[in-house]
Amino acid sequence: MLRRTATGFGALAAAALLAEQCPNLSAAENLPTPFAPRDPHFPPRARNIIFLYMDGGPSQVDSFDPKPTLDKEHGKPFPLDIDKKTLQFNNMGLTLKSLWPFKEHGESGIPVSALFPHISQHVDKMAFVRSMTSKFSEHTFANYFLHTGHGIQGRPSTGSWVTYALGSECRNLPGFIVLNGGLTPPGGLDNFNSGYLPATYQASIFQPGASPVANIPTHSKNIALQRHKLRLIRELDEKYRDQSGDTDALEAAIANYEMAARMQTAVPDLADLSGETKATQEMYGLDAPFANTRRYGRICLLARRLVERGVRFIELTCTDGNGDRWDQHSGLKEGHTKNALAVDQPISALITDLEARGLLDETLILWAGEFGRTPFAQGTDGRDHNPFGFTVWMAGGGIRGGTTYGATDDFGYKVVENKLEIHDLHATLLHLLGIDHEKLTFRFSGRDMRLTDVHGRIVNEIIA
Amino acid sequence: MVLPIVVMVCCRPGVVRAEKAISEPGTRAFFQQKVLPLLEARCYACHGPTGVREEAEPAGGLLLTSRKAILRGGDTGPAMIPEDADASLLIKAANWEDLEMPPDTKMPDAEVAILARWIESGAPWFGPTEDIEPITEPFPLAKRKENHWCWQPLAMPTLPNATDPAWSRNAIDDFIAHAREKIDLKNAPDADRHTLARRLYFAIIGLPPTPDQLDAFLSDPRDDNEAIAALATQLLDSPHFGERWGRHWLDLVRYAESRGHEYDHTTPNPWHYRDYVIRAFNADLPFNEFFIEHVAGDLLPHPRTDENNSANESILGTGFWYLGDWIHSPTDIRADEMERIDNQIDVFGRAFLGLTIACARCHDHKFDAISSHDYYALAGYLQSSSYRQVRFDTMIDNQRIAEKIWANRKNLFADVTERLQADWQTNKKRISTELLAGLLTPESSSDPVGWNKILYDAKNDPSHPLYVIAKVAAVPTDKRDAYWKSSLEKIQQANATHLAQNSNRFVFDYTGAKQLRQDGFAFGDRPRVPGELWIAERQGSPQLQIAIHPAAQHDLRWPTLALTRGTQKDQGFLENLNRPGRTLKTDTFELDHAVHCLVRGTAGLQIVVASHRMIKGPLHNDLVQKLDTGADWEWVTFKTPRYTGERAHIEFVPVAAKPFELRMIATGEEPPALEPVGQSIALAVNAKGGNTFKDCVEQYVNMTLSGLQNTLFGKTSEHHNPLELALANWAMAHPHITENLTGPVQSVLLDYCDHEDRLLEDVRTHSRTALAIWDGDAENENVLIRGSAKNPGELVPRRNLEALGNHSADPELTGSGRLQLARSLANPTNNPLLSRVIVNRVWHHLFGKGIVKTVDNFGHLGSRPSHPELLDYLAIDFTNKHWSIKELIYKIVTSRTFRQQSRPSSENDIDMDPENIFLSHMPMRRMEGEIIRDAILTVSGKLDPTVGGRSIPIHLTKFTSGRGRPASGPLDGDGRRSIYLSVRRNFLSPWMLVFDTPIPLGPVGRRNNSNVPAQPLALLNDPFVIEQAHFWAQKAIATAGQSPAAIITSLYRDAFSRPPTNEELHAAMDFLTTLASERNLEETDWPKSEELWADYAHVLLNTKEFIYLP
Repeated sequence: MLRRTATGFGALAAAALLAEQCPNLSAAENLPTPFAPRDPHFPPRARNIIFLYMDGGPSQVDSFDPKPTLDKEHGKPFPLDIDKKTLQFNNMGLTLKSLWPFKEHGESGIPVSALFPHISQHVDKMAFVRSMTSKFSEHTFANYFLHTGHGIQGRPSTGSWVTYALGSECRNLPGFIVLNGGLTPPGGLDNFNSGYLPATYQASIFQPGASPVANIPTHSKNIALQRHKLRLIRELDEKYRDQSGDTDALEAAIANYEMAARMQTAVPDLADLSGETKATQEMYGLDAPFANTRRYGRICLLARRLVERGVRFIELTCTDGNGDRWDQHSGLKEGHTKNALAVDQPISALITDLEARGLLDETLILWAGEFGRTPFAQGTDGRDHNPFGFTVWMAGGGIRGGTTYGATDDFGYKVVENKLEIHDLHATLLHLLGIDHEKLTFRFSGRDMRLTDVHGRIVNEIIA
Repeated sequence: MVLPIVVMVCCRPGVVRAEKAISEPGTRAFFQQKVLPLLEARCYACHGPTGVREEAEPAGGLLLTSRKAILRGGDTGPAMIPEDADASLLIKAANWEDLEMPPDTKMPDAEVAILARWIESGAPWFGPTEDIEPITEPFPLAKRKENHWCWQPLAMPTLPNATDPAWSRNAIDDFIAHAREKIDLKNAPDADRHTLARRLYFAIIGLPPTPDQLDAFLSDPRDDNEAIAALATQLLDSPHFGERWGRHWLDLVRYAESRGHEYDHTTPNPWHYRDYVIRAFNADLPFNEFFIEHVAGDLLPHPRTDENNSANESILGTGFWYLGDWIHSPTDIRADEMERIDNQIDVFGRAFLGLTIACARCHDHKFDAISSHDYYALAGYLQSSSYRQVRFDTMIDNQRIAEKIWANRKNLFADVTERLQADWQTNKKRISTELLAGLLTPESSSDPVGWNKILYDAKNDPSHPLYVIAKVAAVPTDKRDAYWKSSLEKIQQANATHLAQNSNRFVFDYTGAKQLRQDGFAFGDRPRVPGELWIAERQGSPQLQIAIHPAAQHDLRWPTLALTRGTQKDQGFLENLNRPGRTLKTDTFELDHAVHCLVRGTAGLQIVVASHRMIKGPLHNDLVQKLDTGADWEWVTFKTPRYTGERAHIEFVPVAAKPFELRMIATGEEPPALEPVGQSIALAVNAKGGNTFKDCVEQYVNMTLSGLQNTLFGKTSEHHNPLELALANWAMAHPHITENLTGPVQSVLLDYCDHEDRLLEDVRTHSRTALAIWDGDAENENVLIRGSAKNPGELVPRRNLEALGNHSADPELTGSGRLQLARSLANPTNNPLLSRVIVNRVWHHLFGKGIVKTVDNFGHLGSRPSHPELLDYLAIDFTNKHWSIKELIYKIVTSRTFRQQSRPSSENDIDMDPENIFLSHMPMRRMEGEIIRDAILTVSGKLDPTVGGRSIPIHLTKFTSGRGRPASGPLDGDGRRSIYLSVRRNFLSPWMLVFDTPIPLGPVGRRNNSNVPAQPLALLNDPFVIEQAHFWAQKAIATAGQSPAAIITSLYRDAFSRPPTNEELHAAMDFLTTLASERNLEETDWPKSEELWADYAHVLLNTKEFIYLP
């Protein structure tokens, strides 16, 4: 949903509470700040998270979960029992082999398909979970589930939970930022909402381009006029505060104005990439021939800049125009090729760049879609949704590189070993940030709610 | 605890016997060395003995610690069937079919085989046993009820003695003062009239007073008591009262105009519900009636009508059930249904009862006196009802006409029957003679040509009653006897095969005076009863017909209905069905591979599976269908293999001016055989004996006469044989056979039709529609174990919550019983919560905080009331005064407590009571997003005060994107109050969300009150605010004259309901002077500069005083 995030600065505004103290702004200094950094439950392995959200459900058997059996059975009727109640279309086809060859990479020899020539160079820093499952096979529910741990609208997103738990170390930007590559996922911006948590913790959506946040550019003709206005507003407000009984609330409201004013410079500064070297820009693909590589490269580079500024949780959404995101019910070849082309080089650059700057150790990168795809065709050249077994990978802070965990059956349809749920993924993410997922609660609707509901197990096997 | 020994045994290699013995599945060795270690390794962490398993309770209630325990099983039933491994849940779970156990990694096939072999061998147990029943205490509902305040009956408290009678205005003040004085707090002085005016205006109508309204109050010569009372009365009478308080209510019912999720599909015509709420508040509809209308407004025998017309007002309340978020193409249609019902129960429970009933979906409530059975008992009411768009505008008028017509027809047929009976014996002979002649020797009949045509048509049409005899009549006379015999043999053989094949389940029909379930009047007042007369039309003349089978029949005389322009339709595949006011609904049944409908004519239909309605593809499209059988009865089949086991009903929508009849529904893979009526008659004739063609013809004649005679004289259905009726109906349709019988009534029929036509002219064919509930057949829901639709438990009869009186739906009822439920809950003796919860909400809106702070949760985890006696006093007083919201508000706003200033009388009061629980002063509050926007429009002079109507699309910017993005609306929302801005779930107003307007997913009784710099950014930079500041400046310049001081004063009175202080005037002049000098404006030119004044006005809109209410 768009809503608050459409104006997009709820959290941004709150974060400004942390902005450098201004000598002439007495009220702002001593206010309790919702984003003040808070201690984790135990020493963390990662400080920040970059969540590379692969909207639509990438195919595991075409990317990170090779299945030689599919080659043998290609074109034959799919032999396993199918739960048709999970198919989004009544159009089941024959067994379909991977359209891309796999090759082993790195010292660990983990196979990756030809879809990801850049990312595959980093396998020794990555842990592949091949046994992820979801409870939902519709995009909207599965998106909510992946983001909030519940398959319904209106629950807090993981980024909200993390900033609620830890606050932010960033001095001038929000703690939870979604870099919008151009696609709003099914379920809308509610995937990034704070739900029942205070609105302070919702994502700020940064749109692509030079003016990423609404109502930031001042409508006043000049800065001087804005200053005059703010001065008079403050004068009138302070008098009003002195007459009224409830000074605390009014004081906080007055302080907001000063912060709002200062925020108007913080955001443009972030979006200005002119200080990045040509080599860096090229590495991220900012000059790539494919427009979506350039676009995704730009938000990957922004993600690194946000990590440098101490932003806690950064999520990247996909670019549009690649077919229907990763959701290739037909045209798998073309759709997956374009989607991979958009993200492969930028993500690889992000890993390289973070590592070069010594930031990878404290930054956890998560690559995940809301579910996988069927190893049999939908129609002839597509794949339907598959929540029973798909691959996500992680790299960076606290992750044991060169690892694979869990397994699907010979066809890559269902998990048969070390089955994981989204709750386990969340529990593990929180654990790496130093948070006990069972202790991170918020009282709502008569219950102590958790991101992991009543579930979640930490996947120690992928932790270094 | 014996287990350690076993562990030892199986770990000691010395004990291992010969390999052969081990491999015998029924042996002790096999069990102890193969089976038990497996159970221990794979299962006992969750299902093992106490001390071994990780949790106190075995997972899913299942222990695998003895044969008995395994046989007993857990939540999902027995875990094994000895000697039948394939059917045993243990093996299915280990194979990850349906259940997946152990949950992480599938057991290797070899291990599953060990368990399977053991079960096949009869599952002998040679180990330690732990047979303790899983510790499940009975749910302590009664104890919970007894121990928590909210369930206790309402009790009128003793009024405390007023310690300061001069201060106190009414009982509220006595309670407040009493509690406050106990901890030595003082009351605050009264606020001044400027402040009181704003407080009353915003609290009651949500708009600031205009300068004239302000002056009227300020100059009211009466004392404060009387002046406040008068103003309160005046404001409660304002049409804007309903807008202010209606918006509070909409927060509770998650009011929205779209369905959210992937494409944010439009919810059709939701604004009628919104306007209903506004009208209900304005009319001061007693809250108990408001509640009953919400739950069962469709079932009231005498619904309220709109005061200006005959629209059904009560039924609009039921729209709230269907305001939730919906998805298209759920892959698990039943699970999706349970989510929708859960949301309905959650809204119902929290909004009206302050109870988190929805917490009891997966298990008995963890803290409150609400069992899982309670939850599913309520779910049954919703299962027994369904969604529709109702023609609320015209349904009452049209019902009056329909009932008049039905009564007239009844009279007509009584009259006609009497006339037909008059000469029956004579006519019977005439008909008999003509039939015999026609069938045996047509040339000797009264109409040889007519008979030749009858016989020709009949022999070519198996559905013709005379099919067999006509075929026989067509062969040469000498061969007729033999031909009859051979024809009958063939029919008998074919029938035997049919009967053998028939494996259908007949799930619905209209036998036995069954009620019609229809939305509207297009199917008459009841199903056709065999042997009854009805009027068809034949070449422009009325034609008497005899009903043969019990069936619902489209009344072709009832006009085809349409929607008024601008009325939204259901989306997707339902869009073209034209359902409202002309839909026939079957009872609910269970699907099994296919549905077969015995029908005649043309219709559209929806197979409503698990109440799913958002048919937009890619899934479930084939649930919306068409059928067309022409003039013949046919079994029409729709395949539904995906839905086998799901509950469904069918809704049929006839096609305009085309016949449609429904007789029966069956399920099963193949359609039932249809016995052609001509053959059935021949069989009946044959059964009566007779060897010759002539004998047979005589039987045909006798049956026809018997059918006619029973039609005229038969009283009960036993008299009626459908085969005889078919013959009689056929005879009736041929004037040369029955002209002496029916001729004399022809003019009666013609006169009647003319009369009916005049009545039908008044039918209102065009109507608007609104969301509403539609009662169905009585249906109960199963307890779903752990909330999963895949795991149904016991069936629970529909009833109220046990802790609230436990009223059960009458098992004899043919409908849902919602009305009885609503009435039971509206009775304050059964249910103290309905009144307590709403009284507390009103208090919350007036003071910013409820007596019970958690306004939506009165349960164990909610807050305790700060003033419990006051709460009960108000609740009882409220019910005594006809549940009048207006009287309640009046009482509160005329209290002295409400009149206090917001500044406490001393700092001590804040120290003693930092949260101001004891109301020693008025809490200061930031206004809601809608109210800030409405106030901006009011001061700018651009507010359009129109009440009600279609919603104005929200203004969207480039920051608003996503699937289903609607067209952007005007920046200023056409100047309409915020309650009239459209509420699309995925595209809510970004501007108002900054100020915490609610997300419409569940009830929000208490809004967030955030304080983030997003708010200043919206007020400083949003083009809406800038634009309105300009309008406001124009208005002030135009009305206040040339003096800057006068303009400033005018702006102040608009914005803050008071004149500026000298200091503020100076500050304003300083600001204006600075700006003017930068713009080189002479002071005399100031009044001409809209820009200058707009900048100043913009400042005032940004002050805290503008958005805070002391």
